[in-house]
Amino acid sequence: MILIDVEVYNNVKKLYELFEAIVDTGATFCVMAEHIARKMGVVPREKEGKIHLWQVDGPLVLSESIFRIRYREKEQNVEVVIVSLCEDYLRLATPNEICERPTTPHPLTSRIILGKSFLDKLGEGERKEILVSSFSLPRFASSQAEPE
Amino acid sequence: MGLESRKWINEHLPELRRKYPNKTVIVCEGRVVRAIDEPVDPLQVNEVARRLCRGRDWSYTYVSEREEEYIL
Repeated sequence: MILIDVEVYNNVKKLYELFEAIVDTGATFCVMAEHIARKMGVVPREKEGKIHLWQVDGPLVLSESIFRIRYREKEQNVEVVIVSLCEDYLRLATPNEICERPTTPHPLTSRIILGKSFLDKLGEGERKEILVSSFSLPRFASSQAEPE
Repeated sequence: MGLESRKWINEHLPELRRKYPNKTVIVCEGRVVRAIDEPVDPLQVNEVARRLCRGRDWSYTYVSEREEEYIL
């Protein structure tokens, strides 16, 4: 998994907010949870209608919008799809849900997904840096330093 | 933007998982400055971090205990 930080413009507060983002090279679009998008004053583009995508077990029909996303001081207008999450998935699983869902909250509770619509806006060097080097997580690696 | 803090989080994730499982942590200049007991939305994180880390490099992550295995 590759995690990076980007800044997304909040239309309500008129400032950039920092978001932890999962870089997903298999995703066509960036994705944000609807409850967060709403708080940021993002309006889905109604004229173009819904966007139809495939997910693993069937079709997914989502709203699309344009976000101002800043990465390393460069601002881009990026196509983002907005997905509505069941409120129960925004928390850890309770003991009686253990066999029905992952224990952890839905990843979009605290992150966004960055897909091709973002990666295509970057220069080759930036893309390579994100995909190949320092941002990949050391899944099983150990480190000497202890956080406080 | 939190480039250095992000790098620090990614490098220290195994330790963070041991020490802060299922918490949201805010990292500023190479240390955890706040651990929140549950997943919180990024806008709330930004509000707290702007107060705690004013003008400094910061980042955050939700430290899921075994998350990589849950994403298809």
